[in-house]
Amino acid sequence: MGSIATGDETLWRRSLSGQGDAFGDLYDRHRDRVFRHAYRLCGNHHDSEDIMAASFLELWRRRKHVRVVEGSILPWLLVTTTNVARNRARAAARYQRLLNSLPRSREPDDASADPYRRYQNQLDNDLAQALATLSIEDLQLVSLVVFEEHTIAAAAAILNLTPSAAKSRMHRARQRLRTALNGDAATNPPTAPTPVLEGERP
Amino acid sequence: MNQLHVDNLFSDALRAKLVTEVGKIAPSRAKKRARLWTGTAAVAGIGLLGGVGATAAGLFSTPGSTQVTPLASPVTETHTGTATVQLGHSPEGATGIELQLNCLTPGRFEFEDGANTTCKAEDVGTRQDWTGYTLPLTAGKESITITTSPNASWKLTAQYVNTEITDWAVNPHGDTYGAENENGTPDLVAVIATNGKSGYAYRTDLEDANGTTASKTFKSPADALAWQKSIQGKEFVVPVYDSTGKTVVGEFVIGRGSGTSGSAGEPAPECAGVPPTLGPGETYPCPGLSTTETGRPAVPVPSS
Repeated sequence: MGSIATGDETLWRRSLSGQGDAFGDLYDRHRDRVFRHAYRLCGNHHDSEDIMAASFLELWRRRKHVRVVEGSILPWLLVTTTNVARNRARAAARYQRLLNSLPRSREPDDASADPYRRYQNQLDNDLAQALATLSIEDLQLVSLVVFEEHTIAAAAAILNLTPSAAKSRMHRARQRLRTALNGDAATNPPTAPTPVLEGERP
Repeated sequence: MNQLHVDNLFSDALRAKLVTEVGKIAPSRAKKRARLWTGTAAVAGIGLLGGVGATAAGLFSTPGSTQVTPLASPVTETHTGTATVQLGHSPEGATGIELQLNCLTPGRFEFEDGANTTCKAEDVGTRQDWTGYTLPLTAGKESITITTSPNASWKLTAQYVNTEITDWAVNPHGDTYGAENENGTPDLVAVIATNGKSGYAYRTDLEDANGTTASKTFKSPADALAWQKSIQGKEFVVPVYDSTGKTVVGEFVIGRGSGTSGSAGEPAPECAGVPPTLGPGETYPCPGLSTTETGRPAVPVPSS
């Protein structure tokens, strides 16, 4: 009676047995989070869609390695998204033909015409560039802990780190990010440190 | 906020592609079932498992089960090769067409939506020659075409039906009871106890026994593995009550297989398609998860 336990774990197991609709459900469930994360990393709408698509395709291609953490496939998916975003050229090459074959609506309006949009795009790009200064390991941590509010313990588990190593990495990564966003950290001391969630979520 | 949403056209196409990709790896047995269930959310009490039809029929009145009401007399025709069976006008209130196909010779038989079944020589004349499902009704649909391999003979019984998921009932203590269905799980879940009696088990009892409750406390894969180890080989006995939730009528047993050793018999259906050999450093995705249950859910749920 597997249907009692609903959630990612069940859907993932059903996907592994070849039930496409279960994978479709996983896609519906996590699409937006993955897309937003991709956008954060590249700051560009079109590329984000490619990264998102490649991430789900990678999730499936590397299915034998996937681990479900805290009953969710999302941490794994986000790590994959980060990897894909970092290796965009390579990932895009693998799925280029497929990505090109997917239809897209025409962009209805010109982004540069709207001053608010232009400003937003600038901010998005700034953040994407700041994130680009992090090492891949640190970026993975920041993505899971800061953006997606996973516990350090969960992030450490999926990244094969000990919780204490993850904690000190987080600390260094935050300093590095701050420098990249604000200039010198010494002259701009942080006033409100990024909250880091520890312990169980409600 | 700016245009932070995925292009729907792109997303839909991607989703369809993913669903197809995943479907490709289905082993032949799983494929047969998976395909047949596709698009038939309102599955009647018929399944590919022998004997299930009878079970469901006996529990016709279980709240929350799918109630199938025939709306016209069934049409039965026998053909050889590809042919179309006319069903006549669809009656008012029809929501689907219930189909039962028996193969009379070995061959491959395909329904219009791509669902298909293959009969081997040893299936003919046995229970295995039977395939059934409910096709959702589309406007103007008044015939069924079966496409077959050359010279394959078949018998189709089809009839217009109305399928409806009934509501769960509420007992005097305020607990909902009935069959699990696409709306979820009631407080008291309809099951058939090991002594053959039908009754209800508390959802919370089932969740404690099958690991759903424990899984909520896991903080890492290590926790999950430790838990799996701790319960390996153990059996959990869940009491089965009548609809009041107070009088015990039997028990429902949930046991744990011993993971990859295979000594527990067939692998869990959800592990089908998982390669039996693993590369270095890989972990088997299904150990400990192959729950074996004695007794059975009262209404077949095509979840796996």
